[in-house]
Amino acid sequence: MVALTDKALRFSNIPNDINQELSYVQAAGTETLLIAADPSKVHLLSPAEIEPALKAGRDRAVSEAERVKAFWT
Amino acid sequence: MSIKARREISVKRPDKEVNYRSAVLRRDVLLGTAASLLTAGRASTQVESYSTQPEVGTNILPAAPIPATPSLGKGKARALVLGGGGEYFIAWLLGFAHGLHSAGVSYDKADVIVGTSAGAIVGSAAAAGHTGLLRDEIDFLGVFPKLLSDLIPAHESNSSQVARAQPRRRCPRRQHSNDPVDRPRRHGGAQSVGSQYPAYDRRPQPRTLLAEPSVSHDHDRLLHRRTTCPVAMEQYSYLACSLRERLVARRVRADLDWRSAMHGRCHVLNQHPLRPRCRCQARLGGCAHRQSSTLLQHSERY
Repeated sequence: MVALTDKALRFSNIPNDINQELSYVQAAGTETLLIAADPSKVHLLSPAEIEPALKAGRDRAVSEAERVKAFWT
Repeated sequence: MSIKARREISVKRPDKEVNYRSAVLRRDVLLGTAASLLTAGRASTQVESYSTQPEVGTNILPAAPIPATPSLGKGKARALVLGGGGEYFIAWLLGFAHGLHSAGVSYDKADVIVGTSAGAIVGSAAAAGHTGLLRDEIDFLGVFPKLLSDLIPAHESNSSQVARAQPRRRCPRRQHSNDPVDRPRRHGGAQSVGSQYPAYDRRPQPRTLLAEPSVSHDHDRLLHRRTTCPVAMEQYSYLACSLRERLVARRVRADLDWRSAMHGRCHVLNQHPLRPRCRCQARLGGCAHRQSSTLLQHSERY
């Protein structure tokens, strides 16, 4: 699961945090791997954020690649 | 049978039919009520069995009990769930896909892809197997960020789209245009491209192309090259409307700023004889074509 969250791992306007939601899925027998993107303060609709976002996503993928590979194999 | 008796039968038959229909209706209502009561009772017992869930601050009961019985992912080994987050997260997810692809892990391994908003867009691209294009065919951290940011309408210019070396004057009509699609194209033009890509800024100027016969035959090749440039939307419009004008371009004086004329901007040359007329046309809502036609008359006159 790849999600954009705040530091408290919350989605916007949803009271439950992500871990709570994932616990329900895990209770049904599913293994989960959470990759939470947590930019500090960005304008989600600004074109100026595109290039930093591309780089941030790519850097995060490079650091998480082994974990994702181990999880999916 | 007498006529009177027949009339009585003909009158009584509708009553029987009405009674029969009302009986059927009553039966349906009773059955429906009983079914709804049974369903409600069952639902209430289900809700009670999940009463240990934390309060979420809403009175709306879930459509399905939580945790829901997994059905969509049954028999699927891997699922990819992508959240939403506007254009920022579209870019982030594409960067993430690119990084995973570089590390030998691909989105293609997912059996099920679930996405919300930005995640739905990237997820649909991943499901179609198009995320590999980011690595194979697009210069990911070179041209692609400008391409992606240019697709996003913006109310104000920003550093990603605009890095103007010189401020240029614009026609009043275009300056106050509220077209959200046209706005980023106007803000990010040849100046922006030239400042971001030095190689692009070394291109032959339109004035040179149109005024010198020796290079005017090279127009089609440049047309193709420029229309494939991701951010040069103004160059695209300029070249698209210059097919007729280039026939007479050789007669145009070399000091005319053809690029400004084609883009609907006012001339910046103070001594230019057409400047007052162009201003007048711009004030009246003149477009690039009207200005260029004036310039054509002007070029034939001189």
